Amino acid sequence: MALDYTPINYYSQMNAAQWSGVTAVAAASSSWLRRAQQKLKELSELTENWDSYGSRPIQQKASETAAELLTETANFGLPEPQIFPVPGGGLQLEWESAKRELELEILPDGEIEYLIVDREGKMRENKISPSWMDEIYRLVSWFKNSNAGVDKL
Amino acid sequence: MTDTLPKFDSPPLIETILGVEFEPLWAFEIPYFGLFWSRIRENYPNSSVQPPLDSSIETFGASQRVINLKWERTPDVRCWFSDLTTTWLIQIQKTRFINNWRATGKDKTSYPHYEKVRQRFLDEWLNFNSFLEEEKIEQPPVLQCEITYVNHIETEPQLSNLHEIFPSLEPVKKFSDFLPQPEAIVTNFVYVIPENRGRLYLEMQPVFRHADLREVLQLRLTAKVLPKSSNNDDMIEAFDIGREWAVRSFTDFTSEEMHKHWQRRQ
Repeated sequence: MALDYTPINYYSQMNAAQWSGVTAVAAASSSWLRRAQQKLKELSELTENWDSYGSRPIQQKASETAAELLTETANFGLPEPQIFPVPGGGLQLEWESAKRELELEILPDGEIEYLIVDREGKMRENKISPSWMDEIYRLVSWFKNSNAGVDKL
Repeated sequence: MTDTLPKFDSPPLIETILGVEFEPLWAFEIPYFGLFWSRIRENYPNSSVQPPLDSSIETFGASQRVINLKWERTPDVRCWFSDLTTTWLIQIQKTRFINNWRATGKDKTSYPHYEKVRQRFLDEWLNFNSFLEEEKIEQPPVLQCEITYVNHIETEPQLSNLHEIFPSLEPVKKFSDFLPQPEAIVTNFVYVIPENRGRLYLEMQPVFRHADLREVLQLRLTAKVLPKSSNNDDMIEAFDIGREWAVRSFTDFTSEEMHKHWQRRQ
């Protein structure tokens, strides 16, 4: 017999039939999530040529996907990531802990690529499928397991 | 009945959801999700897998609520199938069939009226039932019809003026020397629909909207109505009751000033 266990979801509408992505402000207020959302909003306001190499502003699809990723990684218990703009209109979220790294690059069209680096410096990178929730959970589980090498993903 | 309901030309509606919950389709194993997708893929080319929704059938009196202990051999999933414009979505799991419409882009004024959304749901539901019949899977008894309206009120959410939008909420006062102003307010009301036909759930809270990274007030009204039977007419009657409760509750809960802003015409 298995318990019908669904992780408690403090921040998003994951457990509702609602499709439009939102994060409940009250639930997020005690976490790093609100700071990260503010940072994301600031980055989304960068204007054309923000990198002085002619980059486009951050694309709407990229910032929307980043907002969803921030919410879900907070749900999964990750610490606050660093958030960077990527030339061309994308974004990057980075976590680093005990010489291990997890990077999620959100392309301008909202597609996601990941890069993980283990304690020995071995790397692995790939794209994440459109139904990415399970993939994100797998990456987060890997990152939280401090002993696993990239081959254990 | 529906002709007398309040009407708005420019409501803050961003999503409408019609769905049914039914007895578990035990025979609907994971391969059937893909088989059904191949049937609708032309119109719904995008898919993703989500965690399943819990059961939430309304009960009254001494009835027991569903306990979420299941004997299962295979994992339970909910599949999303969306159209190219990401405006329409079908959600399926072993106990639910749901059809969503949501606003996309900047034009928030053009939304499909209830009759259109209801007809679309019924068409998709009948198609799903035809699929079950062809696959020799018994059609499930419908236990509950749900209709949800999600509204986003794009105002600066000042706690001190919430009552100007929602008159039934008293102005937030500083209650004592100790407690400061709250950081956020979340409001939930639950109403029984007469004759124990179901319940209306009204939830208001500030949310951070992912699409444009804005903080807005989300007012979500969900009516869960028990249909008299699983036939189409009874499902339509249940949705109509739910729709009436959601629309009248929205109108009651929001101020006349906001009604003018949303261009109420009836």
